Amino acid sequence: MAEQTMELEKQEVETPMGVERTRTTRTFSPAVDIYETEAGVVLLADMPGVDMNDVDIMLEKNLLTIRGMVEEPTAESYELAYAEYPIGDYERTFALSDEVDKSKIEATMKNGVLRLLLPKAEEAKVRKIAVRLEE
Amino acid sequence: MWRNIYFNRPRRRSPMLWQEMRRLQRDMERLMGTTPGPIRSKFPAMNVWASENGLMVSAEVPGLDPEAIDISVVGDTLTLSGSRQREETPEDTRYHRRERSMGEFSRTFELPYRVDAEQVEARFRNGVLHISLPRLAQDMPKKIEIKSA
Repeated sequence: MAEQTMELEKQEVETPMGVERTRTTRTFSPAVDIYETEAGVVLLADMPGVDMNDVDIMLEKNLLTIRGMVEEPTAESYELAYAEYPIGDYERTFALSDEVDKSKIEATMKNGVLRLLLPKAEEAKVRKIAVRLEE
Repeated sequence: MWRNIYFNRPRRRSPMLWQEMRRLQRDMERLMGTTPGPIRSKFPAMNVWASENGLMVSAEVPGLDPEAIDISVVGDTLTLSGSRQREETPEDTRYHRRERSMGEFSRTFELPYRVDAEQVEARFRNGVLHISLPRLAQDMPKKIEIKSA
């Protein structure tokens, strides 16, 4: 067996002083992978327990906020005996660069992973600039 | 490993207390500097629920296909294994962040009692695995009537 896969423990989101949340559940910052290709930027966020219909993606100016609501499982007659992970909502905000074509952002959700495709704006795509010799 | 915790647990305590205790401990460790940097734990993280008739184990395995997870139950041992792979990307890919844990995993749990392997059921929804493990009927505690002489 290869070495044990380890994961980052869920990081709780901190709210500014005096600001309260409307939901009583705790909120965590989802672990993300972000990579860039020629076509654009792809963002993958782990949000286990979140249904496709409970995801909110908001874009305000250049701030992209992803939010996922989790329904706490209610298991009748079951009592929590041992806990390694807390259950709660997810929220995280990213600042986008102007290079992203904000009108063409695509979002999909599969097996608790949110996938955002942020295509590059046409004018931001790599242009080769030829260097000319000064005559 | 969790066996001790399970048995030593005072009955009828709020489940929240558990998480709260764990969090406090983590905060303390962080303050004291005994665990520098971000805390890592084993993948996948698991929660265990107990009732009179059996156990319910849940594990967060986002992004995994249900077919990619092996669950095996032998007597009182539960093993979860599989592999989580990063998605394939074109050659010119540049990673900005890589926080999601990937790779092979295998976790073995010793349960507090034997479970009925035939009756074990696993459900998978939105990246969370739920395994219900009913207690073996012949191992169920029996109430013994006291007869008057």
